[in-house]
Amino acid sequence: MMGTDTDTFHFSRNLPLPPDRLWHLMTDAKAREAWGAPGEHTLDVMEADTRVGGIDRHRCGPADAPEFEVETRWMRLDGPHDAVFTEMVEMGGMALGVSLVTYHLAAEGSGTALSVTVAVSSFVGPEMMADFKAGWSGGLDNLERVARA
Amino acid sequence: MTSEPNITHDSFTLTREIAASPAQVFACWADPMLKRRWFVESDGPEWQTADYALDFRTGGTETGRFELSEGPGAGEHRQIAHFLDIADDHRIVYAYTMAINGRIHSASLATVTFASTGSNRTHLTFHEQMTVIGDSDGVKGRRHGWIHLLNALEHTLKEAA
Repeated sequence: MMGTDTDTFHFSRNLPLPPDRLWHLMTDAKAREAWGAPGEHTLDVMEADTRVGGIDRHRCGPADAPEFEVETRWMRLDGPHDAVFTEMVEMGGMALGVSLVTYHLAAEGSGTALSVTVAVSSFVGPEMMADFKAGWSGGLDNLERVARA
Repeated sequence: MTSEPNITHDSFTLTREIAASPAQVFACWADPMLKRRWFVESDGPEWQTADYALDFRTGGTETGRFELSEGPGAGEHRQIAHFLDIADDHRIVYAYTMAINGRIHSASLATVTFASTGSNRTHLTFHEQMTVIGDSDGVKGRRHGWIHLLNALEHTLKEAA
């Protein structure tokens, strides 16, 4: 069995949307389709139950073969201030890793100072950490583009 | 004036060399009777258990309500855990929240691994990554609590031997 690796990543963005509008973009399962996948990848919602204890499911990956399944389990939703959830990533029924993700939104002028912390436990080797980090970094770049559009 | 809680992040790791096989140590987490012995019944008389339930499987839950009768943390402490990944005798990954008197003060990802280091020897690693929300004893209190719990786990294994 491959080892288990852990790490934590912190991201911050200053976005030109007030917290309540950004909150919707970040927590609504359908709205997350517009920014949640990095680069040319797509994100498609399969199920949505966005409440504490509820689960959202997305399929993610290249548009012609979205091979990753992402299960979001909401642990805390205190809008529009903070949210905590876990995100399990699987491919072909095999768990690749899981993250504990925390959003923190603070009003700053007419916009929002956003921080996202991703605590990862990877089951397929330390190389997966770079993929988790790149996935979130690319997704937040998309979010910035959506927020500025 | 705002009522928004302060949010911070922290982590800690504890390790133990245990004189038992990985299967025996893993059983202490998986078997509801064994888990109850070290996780629930090892606290002092100031703690009362209102309820506790373990459904140990991927997708299952562990829930508990515990009353502390004295001290700065007096009140009802509630734990809700979800098992996210279980590899028998190797790994348990779960997420959990802790609340005091109805207010969640932490959300954590816990990764527990069991590695054989010889005949009937296990290297246990407990790693917790925490989001601390508002007033909390934070990583210091949690680390202290888990040192106590891992001591109780080793005691349970010795009793069972």
